[in-house]
Amino acid sequence: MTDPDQDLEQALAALRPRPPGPALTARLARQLDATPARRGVVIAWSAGIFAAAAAAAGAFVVLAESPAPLAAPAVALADVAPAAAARFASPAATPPLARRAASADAAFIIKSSDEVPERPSYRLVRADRSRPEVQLFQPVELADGSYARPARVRWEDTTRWEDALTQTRLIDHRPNDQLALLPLETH
Amino acid sequence: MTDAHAEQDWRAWFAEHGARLRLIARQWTRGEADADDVLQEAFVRFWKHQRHLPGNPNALVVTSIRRAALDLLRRTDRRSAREKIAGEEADTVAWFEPEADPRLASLADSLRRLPDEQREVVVLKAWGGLTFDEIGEQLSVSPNTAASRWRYAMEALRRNITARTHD
Repeated sequence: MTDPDQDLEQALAALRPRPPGPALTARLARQLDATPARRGVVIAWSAGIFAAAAAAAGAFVVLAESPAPLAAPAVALADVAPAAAARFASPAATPPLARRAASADAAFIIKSSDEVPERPSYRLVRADRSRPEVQLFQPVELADGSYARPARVRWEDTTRWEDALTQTRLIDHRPNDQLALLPLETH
Repeated sequence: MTDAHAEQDWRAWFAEHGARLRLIARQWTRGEADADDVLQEAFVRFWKHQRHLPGNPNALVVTSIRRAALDLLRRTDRRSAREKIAGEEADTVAWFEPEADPRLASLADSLRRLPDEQREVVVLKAWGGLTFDEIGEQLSVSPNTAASRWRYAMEALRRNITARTHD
């Protein structure tokens, strides 16, 4: 680059572009200063939705993890056929609902955080099970020559989750309908 | 240039760089109001979405300004010829602060009279802080072409200043 070019560059650098007016700065402020508040709303919204989805997913895990029904239907079935009821719903394989819910709770419940204090934290406050409705059918002969009585058991599980901070409640209502064969002993 | 990647306060960053960014926007638009619109759109886009990206923040913000200016030109191409002429004639606001030095005043006026393709190279290099490689990318020309336009512009500016000084 020649020296005259250098002079010219220095002269260009000495020119002072006109600064933006206050009106433009005010327009920018409306758009950029409002950003954190809007983002906070979005975070709050997404946190609430996420918490609700997590609670629903957790309730699903609690209630649908095992294909076997829980304790109450087993007790009802035991009145009809104790051996079959034991196979149908083993207490060892199926922990009580509240205990299982509590363990699942530790896995998915949103913990309250200092960074995001408005984040909802749902806690399991109640788990109810309706009285099971047992329907017995006529005995049938199985392929191995033995006999069994088909039984249909219907009941409803309801879990309630609450967030004390936001006073919001999530209720998961889940009907259950199971069929089983109760072996019959012949003498 | 302060680092836009680390800067948290848009006001401080804009106060330092707003004038030269507005000049870049102004030379790609037809008037002051259009320049403000373009700069607003480009700066908001840059600050919200691009300032954390790797690379030269100068080039990022210039790209944003150029894109906004081209979008505006496409939208306003539907204006009637009469509106365009009226707008251009009404735009008598200087691009630079008034200069007491007649040589600088002459240089500022000469810059506006350069052919568009030369003027944009000068503005991008002198006030955008871009290299010829980056200017070439912005304008979709080779770095050699950008350098050639710079040289032609320097010659033209020198001729204009010399002629006016002799007048």
